[in-house]
Amino acid sequence: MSYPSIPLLSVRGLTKHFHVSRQMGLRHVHEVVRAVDGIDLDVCAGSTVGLVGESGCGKSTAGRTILRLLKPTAGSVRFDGSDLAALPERDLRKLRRRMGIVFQDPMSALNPRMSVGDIVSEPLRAHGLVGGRREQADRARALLEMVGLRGDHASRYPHEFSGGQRQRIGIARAIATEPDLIILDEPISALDLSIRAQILNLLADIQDRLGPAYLFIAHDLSVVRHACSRVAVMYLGVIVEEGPTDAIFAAPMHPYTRALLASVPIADPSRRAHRVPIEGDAPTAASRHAGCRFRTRCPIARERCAAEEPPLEKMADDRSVACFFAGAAHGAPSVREAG
Amino acid sequence: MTADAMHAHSARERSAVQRLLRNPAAVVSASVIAAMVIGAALAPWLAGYSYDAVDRANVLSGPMAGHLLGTDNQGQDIWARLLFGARVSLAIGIIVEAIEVIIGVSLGLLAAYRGGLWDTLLMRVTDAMFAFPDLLFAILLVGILRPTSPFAGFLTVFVALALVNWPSMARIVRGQALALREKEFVEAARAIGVPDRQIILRHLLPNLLSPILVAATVDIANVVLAEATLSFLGIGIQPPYPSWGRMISDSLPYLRSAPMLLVYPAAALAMLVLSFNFLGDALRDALDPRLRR
Repeated sequence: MSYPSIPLLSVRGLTKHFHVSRQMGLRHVHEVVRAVDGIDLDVCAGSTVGLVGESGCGKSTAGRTILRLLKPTAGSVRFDGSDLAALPERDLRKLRRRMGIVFQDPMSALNPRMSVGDIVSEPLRAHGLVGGRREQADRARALLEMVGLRGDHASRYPHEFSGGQRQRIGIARAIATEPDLIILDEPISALDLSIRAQILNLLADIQDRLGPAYLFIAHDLSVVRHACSRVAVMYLGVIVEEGPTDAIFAAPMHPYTRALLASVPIADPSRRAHRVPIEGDAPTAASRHAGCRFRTRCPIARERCAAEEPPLEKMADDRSVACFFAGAAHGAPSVREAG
Repeated sequence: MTADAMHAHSARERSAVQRLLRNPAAVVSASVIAAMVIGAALAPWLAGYSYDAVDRANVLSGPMAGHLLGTDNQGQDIWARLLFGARVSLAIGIIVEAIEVIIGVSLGLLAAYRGGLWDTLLMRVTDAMFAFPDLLFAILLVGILRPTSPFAGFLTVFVALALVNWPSMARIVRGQALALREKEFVEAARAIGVPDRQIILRHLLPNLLSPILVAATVDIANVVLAEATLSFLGIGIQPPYPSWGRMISDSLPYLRSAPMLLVYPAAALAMLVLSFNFLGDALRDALDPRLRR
């Protein structure tokens, strides 16, 4: 990957395993759920990188682990030089001023017992960036106006607002300390269709003004297409394809990416013939065996895919793909013997 | 949306109070409790007698001039003893509950937020406490501490009841706090870099107030009953200070000749306990978030 500079965020081999034990009959069954199983990801200052995949593929876990809201099992998360995964709690807390997160559900993301003004100015208080009550109120008002709400909304409580307005409040809180990196965890998927575009525009607007980098987590490729310069596609805890958005959308190389793109509704009926249907259910992250994770649903899977796991390999046009037959999958007539 | 730039918080609290006022059971219960609190507070003035004053001319009398509810076997005024007894019940109920809330809430929050060893430790201790009969434990404590002065006697009952009752509060708080901890606004606070102490005080605790208030109100009833039981068994509040439990046990020999000796304190006790139970239920309904607009 040829980046003009050192990326702001550089994730290497990030892994998050959950240990779950459940009762099966009389036995306790201990299982390891490999929610995130060694991912690499770079985000340059001021850029937007999309992280997409089906629900359950570990993309939200990845986002939370990057911010160390969850403790990583392995791997490193370099944020402007310091490794978030290894930093002591106290130093990490100071660094949190430069990071933010916007959640999917604007309902549960806001404390129902705090006024909106208190909510959006909380990051400033947490880092001692505001003096008195007055200054705090002024900053809260300014933040609310910045996200398209009224300053006098500060004295109200979250339950008085609509979903879209609440998401604006969540965004105002995330940008309060003018962070360098904001993780957007499906910021629009819980919202009404009519409001989604407004929120996307607001996010773009904020990036123009304050210049944060976004890691945009989504399950909907069409959203990412317009918002992101680069995209990483995740399947069952690993990244299967990564590269410039335009290149991936123009010619997806991994069969999973192709299937994902095919699932985006297309308005033109004459183009529907090209769809490659995705078959079968995604295996859970717990029930995993050797080989390629996608092979159980892959239209072009062969013996080799069951034996080895394909590594994420660099391709010509600044992208990486984890598929032995990445070239073959592209363009060539697909061998459709799904199993 | 114009003039009502009013505080939404107080608006919501107000609507909870309004819901409470629309519930007849709540209004009656609250009135009973209020009347008993006033009666207890003004006991020396309302009673007409001291709690240990003896009228030897009138023993076991029915209601008469000078003795509103009659006298007991020692010629003590029943009305006076009921009023002073209310002091004991209410003081024990409220003070023990306060101690319990302080211990239960801090330990419950600690266990839920810190998890790990703290959580395991708390849960095993509460398990052990639940497995042992409450009253027996309180009796044991009183037996071990053996108070010598009347004041020490009060104190022992307070301590014994608080020690017996805090685990249920800790469990409630822990359970609610665990559920809250998973909410994204707590995660958001951590992501922002809010210190743990602030997260507990500003995010968890305010959202726990309703369940704590409800549980505490219902629990006061249990504490009042437990004190009455201890006093009934003769190991609670010591004579000459009156307690309803003691009055009930003192009345037993005269059950046939003077049944009202039993009825008055038993009725007072039942009314107070029922009132706290009803009020607790009504609070639960009024504070139910599903009923908020």
